[in-house]
Amino acid sequence: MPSDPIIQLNGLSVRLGGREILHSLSGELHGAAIGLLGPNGAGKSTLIHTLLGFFSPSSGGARVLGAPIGGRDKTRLAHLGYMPEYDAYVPGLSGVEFVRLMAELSGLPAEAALERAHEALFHAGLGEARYRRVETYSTGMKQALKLAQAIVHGPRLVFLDEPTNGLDPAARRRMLHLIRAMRDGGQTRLVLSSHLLHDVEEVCDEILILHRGRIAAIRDLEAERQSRRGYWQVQLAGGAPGAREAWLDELRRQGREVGDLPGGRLRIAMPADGSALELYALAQRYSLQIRRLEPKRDDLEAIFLRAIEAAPAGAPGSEAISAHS
Amino acid sequence: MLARLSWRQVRSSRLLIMLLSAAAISWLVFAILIYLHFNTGAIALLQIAVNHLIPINAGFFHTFLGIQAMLAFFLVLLIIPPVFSRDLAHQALPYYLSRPLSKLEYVCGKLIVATTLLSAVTWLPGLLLFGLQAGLAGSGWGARHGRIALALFLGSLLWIAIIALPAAAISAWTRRRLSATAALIGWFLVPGIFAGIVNRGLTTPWGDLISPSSLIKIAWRGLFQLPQPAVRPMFYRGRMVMQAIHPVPAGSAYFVIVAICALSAAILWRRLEPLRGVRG
Repeated sequence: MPSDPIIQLNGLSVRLGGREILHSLSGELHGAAIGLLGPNGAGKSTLIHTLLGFFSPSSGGARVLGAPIGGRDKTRLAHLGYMPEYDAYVPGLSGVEFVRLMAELSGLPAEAALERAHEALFHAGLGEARYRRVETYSTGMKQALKLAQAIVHGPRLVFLDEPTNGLDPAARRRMLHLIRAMRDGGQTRLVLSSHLLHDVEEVCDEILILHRGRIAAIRDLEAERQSRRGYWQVQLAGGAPGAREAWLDELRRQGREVGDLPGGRLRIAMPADGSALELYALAQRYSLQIRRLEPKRDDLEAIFLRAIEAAPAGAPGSEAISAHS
Repeated sequence: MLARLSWRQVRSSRLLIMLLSAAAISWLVFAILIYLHFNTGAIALLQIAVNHLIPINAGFFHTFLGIQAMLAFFLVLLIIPPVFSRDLAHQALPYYLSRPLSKLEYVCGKLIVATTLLSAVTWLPGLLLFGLQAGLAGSGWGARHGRIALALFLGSLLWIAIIALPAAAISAWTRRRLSATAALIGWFLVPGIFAGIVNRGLTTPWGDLISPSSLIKIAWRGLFQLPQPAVRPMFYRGRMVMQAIHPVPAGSAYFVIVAICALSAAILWRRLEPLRGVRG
């Protein structure tokens, strides 16, 4: 990972409508593609809007691309791109006029802006529709248009707020492909906010997990991928009352990490040699049958759930977070 | 860029062409009246007695400004509501403000077309008329009546401010072009009715301070150094009589106009928060 942080959070708190939305966030983000994860209402969009300068911190501060977020530093803003979550456009303009306007507002000269607008629209898959008025675009086309306007001026950092919202599977795949291509191009860093774990896992190399306005975790996803811990997903049957608990206690005494999974299944950390014989022998001692034993590796969902469980605010409760679209 | 966009949004309107044409015709009529004063041949040809011609004085230019101001008001109704309400209704403000563009630059960019067109129908033609009169009259007329030129300029600026700023604030508030237009018409008509009720009910002229149209009349009379009306018509025991009044000082009108403009600017500023009213 590069040494200079893209985003530095220094005790950043944001209060809106008398309520503290972000609570003293601190940390550094270095990734080429940073995933901003969290259940709905965790504060992801508020963080993005604060980093863009739409909200002022109530205390603390942050730096984006090395520059503090307070005030309207035009040089900093010229290097940022923003794709909003909600439906937004300037009516009465064609796609190319809209994207050109945004390029010019970012400081490109008129001719260069027009050229880049065409390029960005082709890149976003709107080449054929670029002369149509933007209000006639479908949801997928509007998402692509929002992406095109965010990247038209060649920003160093792009904030993508729920870019796959409302897209059908094919359009979602296209959008993720575009975002990956942007990341692989290496010119533009990106911050992808999503409640879809799969989207973040496909694109990002670093994640910031927010939970109830607090940082639950900052993880280098690449390092996590390389050192993912293996575990067994175990389904038990049989045994006298209390045998299951006794067996689990025995495993814990042996230093094994044990946890519950949905559907009555268990999550048991794999030993270094990966052998399950000891596990079977121990189950036999407690008259338990191991009906199913499936080797697994930690995925983003596991990382996310662990971070949320460990967060001081408690369990995620009813917030929506999805591993799939 | 924003000025270009605003111009694009209004340029195709037939109403705009009609209003600009009406403003040009009005100017032409006043220019002809000035010309007639100095063209003895034309006066003889038309068999007009010189003493019957309208005098070219502060009242003449005051009347011209009154006509142009009415056209300017219609221009504001046509131009300003779409400029702001389109962006706000379609949640486009964050696009602008996430770029190196300040809120002040956004407002100025959006209002520049309106203020240019308003200037083109108020103080610019007014000063051209003044120049025409000064040129034809010669012998230091322009220097002696410099106050009229100043009144034309400042009076126009006051009018542009008191119609454009509330129009922008109301458009940003309502976020809908039609509601903004209706609210703007109401903003000029309704306080006038209340002002009349206050004036008659309390037998005072101070009710005029709540009516934008009365305010601007008082301010203009002050600027053109025309006497403020000392009587006003009223019904007394079923008969129309003229009631003597102490006119409202022009200074009070200037103060209220500035206060209205400041309040409008504050409302506009507040309504232009990038994420206000954004629906996810």
